[in-house]
Amino acid sequence: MYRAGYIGLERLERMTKEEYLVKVENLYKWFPVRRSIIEAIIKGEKIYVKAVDGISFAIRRGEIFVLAGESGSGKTTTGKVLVGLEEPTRGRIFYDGMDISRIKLSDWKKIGLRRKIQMIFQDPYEGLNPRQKIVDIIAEPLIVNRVVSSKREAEEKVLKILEEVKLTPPEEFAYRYPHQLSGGQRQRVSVARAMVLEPEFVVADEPVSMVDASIRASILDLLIYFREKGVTYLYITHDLATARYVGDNIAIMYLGKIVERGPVEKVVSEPQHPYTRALVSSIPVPDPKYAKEKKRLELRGEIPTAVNPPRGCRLHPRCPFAMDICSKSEPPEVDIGGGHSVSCWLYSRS
Amino acid sequence: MKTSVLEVEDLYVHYFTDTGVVRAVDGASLEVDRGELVALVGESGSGKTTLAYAIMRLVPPPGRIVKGRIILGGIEVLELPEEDIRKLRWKKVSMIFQGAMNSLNPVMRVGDQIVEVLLYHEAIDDIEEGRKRARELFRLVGLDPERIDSYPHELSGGQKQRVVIAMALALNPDLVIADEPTTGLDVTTQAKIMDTIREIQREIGISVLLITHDLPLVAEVADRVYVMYAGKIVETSDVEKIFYKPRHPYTRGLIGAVPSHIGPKKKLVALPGEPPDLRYPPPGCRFHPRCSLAMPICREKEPPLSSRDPRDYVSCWLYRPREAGEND
Repeated sequence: MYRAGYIGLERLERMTKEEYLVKVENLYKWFPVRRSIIEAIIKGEKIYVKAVDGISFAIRRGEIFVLAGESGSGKTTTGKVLVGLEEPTRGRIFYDGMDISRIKLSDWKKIGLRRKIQMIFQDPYEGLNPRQKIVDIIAEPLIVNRVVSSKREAEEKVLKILEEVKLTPPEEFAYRYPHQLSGGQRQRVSVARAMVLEPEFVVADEPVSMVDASIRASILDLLIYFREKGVTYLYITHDLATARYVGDNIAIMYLGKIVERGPVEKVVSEPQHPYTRALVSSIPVPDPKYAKEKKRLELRGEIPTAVNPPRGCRLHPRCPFAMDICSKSEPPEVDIGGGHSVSCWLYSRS
Repeated sequence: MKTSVLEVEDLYVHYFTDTGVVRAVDGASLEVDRGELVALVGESGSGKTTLAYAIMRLVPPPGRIVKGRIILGGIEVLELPEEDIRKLRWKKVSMIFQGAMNSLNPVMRVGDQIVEVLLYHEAIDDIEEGRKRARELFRLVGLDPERIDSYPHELSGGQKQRVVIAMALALNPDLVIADEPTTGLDVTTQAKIMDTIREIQREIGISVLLITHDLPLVAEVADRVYVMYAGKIVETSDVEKIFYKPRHPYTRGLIGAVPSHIGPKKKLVALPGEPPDLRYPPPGCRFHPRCSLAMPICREKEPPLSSRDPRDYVSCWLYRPREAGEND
């Protein structure tokens, strides 16, 4: 249904707004590390956590684009920049053809971006105000964004969206408090709150990682339902099994960089980058016989901090295949066909 | 003959709260043999962690063990005075608590924290002997022995979890209860930690009771499985039977709801509804409100176990067709 994940920066730059909804070019997000004045004077230059360190990708209209990686990869920071919770340090973000990276976050509401772009958070327990009834929680964005003119109109919209997220009968759920709902029901409320504004683009950050397994699929199906109604997603996760269930294209992040990308099915079934291979082979499989036979690719140690990422390929200190060149220069992104690309020296002739 | 290190018989643990009695564990039985890795799998609120706390006799108030038996290496745990229980913990049975790696003492070197446990239980004569033992334990769990002088903040999440495992092994217990030992760790780290637990378990012949919600993890490491739902064990058998021939509709549902990154992409089917409020569990089979195969009897009478074998049974009327039919 969707074409290639790999586009190449040149081609990416030429992409028109008919082809994508969101386009990110060379995005950087660095956080300064706080130090004492004395430390700063002695050591001189500023230090940064390079959470996102030069990534580019495009999300097509109606697509569920997965950004996957482990903690510290920069995936959540990327999501926060795209919904306007963080300003980018450098790089350009095009939304529907408009360069929004230069627009101040305080102006997002004025031009309607706050309504068009929404986020669903991981934790259904912390995200909802315990003192507010469900109806008020969901109505709040409608009122803040002046989408409705009366309280009654807001309530009507709330009841309709509750029905859509299958919290039925809606009249019953609307007047409850979050603590009266189960974890799965609360996550439905989070989805409803994001969807009530009829957004075009939703960043879903680990939306099911805290939901019980028996109901996880129903939340994922809810995301797919809204996709069919026209919503485009950035789906952020560490879980490649759910990524495969919902996603179209995927980009794998490691220490602030994208190391591999392509159609989800291809990347997950034929991972190429040593990091992706390690990640995929570490995922437990609900099949005891297969689990016993499977071979794991192990990386040395654990992910380093993003303050001083390794030179060259960022994985090289942990990679069992590291060559001389890997510690010296950064590998280019290589197209390996079928929309699948990998940034690893094993794949480039040099 | 196999020898069991743990037997839990018809255990009831209830929380007597202001808003009612929460029947967290409501008639559960299980066994763990020497050298086995047994998984107790259930979703949040199934009672699995309460069951683990009961084995340690650590159920926090307003919870209370109402009745049942717990036999740990031949000792009746529920009949022991508190004083003797304390000696039993760590030595006979130890527990890796959920999130334990975040409760290491931040101002104490990790090795000293292990020495402290050893001293408390008079397992060593002096600190130097304790440090030696701590180094051995670190080696066992795959940590650099020199790390005993590190503080928790100098270690990564995976390393801290290894310290916690080392601590659980400090007094050579027969059984380690591991409550979600890898939750919150990255998948690559999780895989390595589970490998370590598995290796140690085989090497020193220890038994492990793994408490988890993570079905794929169970498939990967467990010998046998107990499936817990709403305070009861609904099914048990060896791991392959659980995954390839699940019997209880809940087990089947759970397996059908879990995505996999290998094999053909399947349509996932979520179980309808939510687990019950354990203050007001449904009558009959507790799963019947969510069960697509429920019969009239399921709403009225609790299903009996399908067999007398405590290691292989299912508690569901579908497997007692004659009795189920009679009551129709």
